[in-house]
Amino acid sequence: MMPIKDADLTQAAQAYAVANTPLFLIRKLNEDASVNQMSSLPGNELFHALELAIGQRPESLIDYVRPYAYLVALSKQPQVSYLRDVTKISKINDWDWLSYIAEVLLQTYAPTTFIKTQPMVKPSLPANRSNAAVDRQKITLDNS
Amino acid sequence: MKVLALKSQLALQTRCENQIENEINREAVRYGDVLQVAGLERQYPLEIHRPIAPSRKYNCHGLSFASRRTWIDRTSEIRKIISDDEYQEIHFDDILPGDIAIYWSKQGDAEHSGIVVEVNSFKVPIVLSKWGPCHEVVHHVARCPYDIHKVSYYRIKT
Repeated sequence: MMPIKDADLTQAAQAYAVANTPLFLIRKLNEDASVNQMSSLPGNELFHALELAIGQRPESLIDYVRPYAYLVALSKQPQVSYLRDVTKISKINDWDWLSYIAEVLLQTYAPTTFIKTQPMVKPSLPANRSNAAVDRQKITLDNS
Repeated sequence: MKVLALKSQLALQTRCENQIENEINREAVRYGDVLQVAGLERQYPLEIHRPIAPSRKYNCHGLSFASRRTWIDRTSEIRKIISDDEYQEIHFDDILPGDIAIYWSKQGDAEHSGIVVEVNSFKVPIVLSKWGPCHEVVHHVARCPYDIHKVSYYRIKT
């Protein structure tokens, strides 16, 4: 799994750059592939990255969108506790819409569960093969 | 000279004297905003990109409903304006320059708006709007970064 700070937030930054409303930003970030990928990271790791991003002075448009992207990724976690704690971060109000978005995400929170599945294994072919029909069914055509 | 706060709310009311929640953000252009404008100009080459620097002083709704003075970003405020100022929804066939186009998302968010400046020969509205903190664009109603599944048109009654 790639480190959080290396996630490609180009699309997210483009959405942020044209956002007229906070709900538009939430919608675009919810649809963003990188944000969805980040949401499978451990909650504490995401929360820590969010705290750091909020405390830092942004130097690019990507830095500006970082806290919003991490926040939406947190809202897709199986546990809501980290999302609740976001509202307690002291500098949250320094960022436009961030506290409002956190509130909206809390109100609309639906737990997401990640299930790891094993790739399906094909049964190996029998050693002795024949062309004999093994399972025939009689089919009757209905002419009525 | 009056010293203004970096962010403040203007006294902006509907015709029924209800305050419209808004915020004017006077901060300087942010890193990357100018680059984003250049990117949008490349992405939408058929539209008219007005040479207005990006800012957070006003957004699309501020352009449509507050004479470019401030930023309005809550759907509840847009609904309040429509109701208090007696805007009427009009049928697509009746659109005229001067009408307001509002882009509603599937979730009911008024995520964009603009002023109709022309209805072209194919009966397609051409809209003047501001794209978030970026610049103003005169665009074909469907050529923009917003959800176009439901665009409603409004005209003020009197």
